[in-house]
Amino acid sequence: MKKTILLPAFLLMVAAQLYIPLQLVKHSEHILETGKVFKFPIAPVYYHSPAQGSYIQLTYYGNTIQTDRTEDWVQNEQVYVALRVDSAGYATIDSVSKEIPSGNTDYVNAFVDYVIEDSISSLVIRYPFNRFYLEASMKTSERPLYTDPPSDPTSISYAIVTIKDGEAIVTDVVADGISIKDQPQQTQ
Amino acid sequence: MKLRKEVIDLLAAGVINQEIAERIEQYYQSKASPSQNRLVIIFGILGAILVGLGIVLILTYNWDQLSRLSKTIVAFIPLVIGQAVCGYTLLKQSDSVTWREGSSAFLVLAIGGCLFLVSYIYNISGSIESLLLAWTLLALPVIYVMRSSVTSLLYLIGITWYACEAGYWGSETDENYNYWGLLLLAIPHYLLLCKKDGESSFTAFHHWFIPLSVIISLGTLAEESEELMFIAYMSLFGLLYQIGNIPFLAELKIRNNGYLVFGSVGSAVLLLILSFDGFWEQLRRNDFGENSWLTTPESIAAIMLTLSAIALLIKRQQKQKWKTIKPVDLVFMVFIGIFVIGMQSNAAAVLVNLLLLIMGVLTIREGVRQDHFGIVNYGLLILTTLIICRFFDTDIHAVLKGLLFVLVGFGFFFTNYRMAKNRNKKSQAPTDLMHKA
Repeated sequence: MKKTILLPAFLLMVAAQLYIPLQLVKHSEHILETGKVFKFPIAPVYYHSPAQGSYIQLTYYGNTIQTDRTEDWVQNEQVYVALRVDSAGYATIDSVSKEIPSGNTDYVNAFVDYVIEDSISSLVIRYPFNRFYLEASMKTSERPLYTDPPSDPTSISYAIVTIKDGEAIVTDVVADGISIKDQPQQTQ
Repeated sequence: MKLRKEVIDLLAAGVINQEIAERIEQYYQSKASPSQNRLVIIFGILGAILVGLGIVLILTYNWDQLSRLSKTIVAFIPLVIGQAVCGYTLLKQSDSVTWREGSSAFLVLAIGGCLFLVSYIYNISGSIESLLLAWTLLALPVIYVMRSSVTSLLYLIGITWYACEAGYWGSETDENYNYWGLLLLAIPHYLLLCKKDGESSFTAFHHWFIPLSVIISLGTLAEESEELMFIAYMSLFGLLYQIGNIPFLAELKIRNNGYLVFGSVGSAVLLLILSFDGFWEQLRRNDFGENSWLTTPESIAAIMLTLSAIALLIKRQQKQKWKTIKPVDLVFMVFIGIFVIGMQSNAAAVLVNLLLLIMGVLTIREGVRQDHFGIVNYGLLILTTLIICRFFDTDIHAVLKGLLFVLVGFGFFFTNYRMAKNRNKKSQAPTDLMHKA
């Protein structure tokens, strides 16, 4: 390739390589600045993988909603979950639809995990924000705390999630009333 | 150094003159340069990768104490360094393969590092697929702008990983055909590489990486009629074998011809798997609706691959005599017949065993004809593995099993011994003639 074509091509390539991650940063900052904060009750479980580092797998409570028409839903299809805040201050599913909810409804993009067909049929929702990456210093000290999920569903463990136009970012995990960011000092 | 000493001795003894001594030295210097260059390239690439990893580790030291903004800036530093080094290479070192390959490898890893670090810093939701797709797409222009074969190989690894995430391990998408488009985007570089630098190590690596990537990714097409994937895979191996026999590739050493090896070994392994009756039992129980035959991705893949393999086989045989046809050439077509029989009858497993037996025997014959130890032993290996497989589902007395193994062992020994003897005789013949003369 001639240099007259090569140099503009190189500059275009460099611009694209910077633009995509910068857009990712800008978009995430926009969600964090303008999004609405919800508390999702969770069962936090600690994991560590050599490739992805240490993280908490967030298993959400209250991710099920009753439905009359199970045949309308297909496993793994994308859905929009309209949210409301219950009396205890936690996010709970208000409704699930295949279309983006209209008006000022707070909603989050999710997937149909599976459909339960029984006397009371229901949909189990899978949220895509199911991981919270830990700082390197938390690796060992947090392990005993989060090996098992709490058996009590009313546990005060929850994920703080900022939501904007269906997209979500987990900003913190609170277990036993203490932010995960403050826990290393307490346990070490 | 040894050569230099020899030349000096010859010069001192008056066997050669100064001019010839210089020409000998020049000749060996020019001959030695490619291997030295290759080493420089390999270490250049390894060095770039290690430097990249080292920079990421140094930058992320004390990561916990950094603010979100600082972490984000740190994530971009290796990427900017990589781009700067590539820019310098393009302007000042564009003719140096080491610079081009090393800086490109560094840049590709820096792109991935930046994307994953940003995703990590913001806890961005979603699967790894979207990140891998962004990474491979951003790495793609590096192949062409930097004329980098290492990037092309890394790209092939990346799209294969992406195909696995999207098709095997992911849970958020059912159908994903992006891989095939991504693969096509890398082909022009590969073809150019074959044309310009057909015998280089990079080209040889591509001859292995491309078929391997396709073999791994083809399974992602499987949906509800998974059994049909066996036809698709058998035809893929048939097609790879035909590609491996295209004159340009057929001239290569077997170790550089991944198409031929994957095509032949893949066919044999698949037949060995299907030589057990379990699969055929399952197939007979399946109710293939009339529509499922032609409309599923599995059957479309099977039809396309079969037609492509047949087209290549016909094209090749038009130039050669049909007598030269090899056993593996026809396996994929015979298998389709067996598959159809297997849907109704329990004779399929027996037919597959028979096909393997014929394949093994004809491969040995081919090896003897070509006087090639590797091919002969490959044929023997097919037969031995077939016998071992049959021991798992056949009630044969232990003594008989033992005797069979002894027999096969002797077979290995005897065939190799005969071939070695014949080869010695042949090499002896010209020497005898010379002595007689």
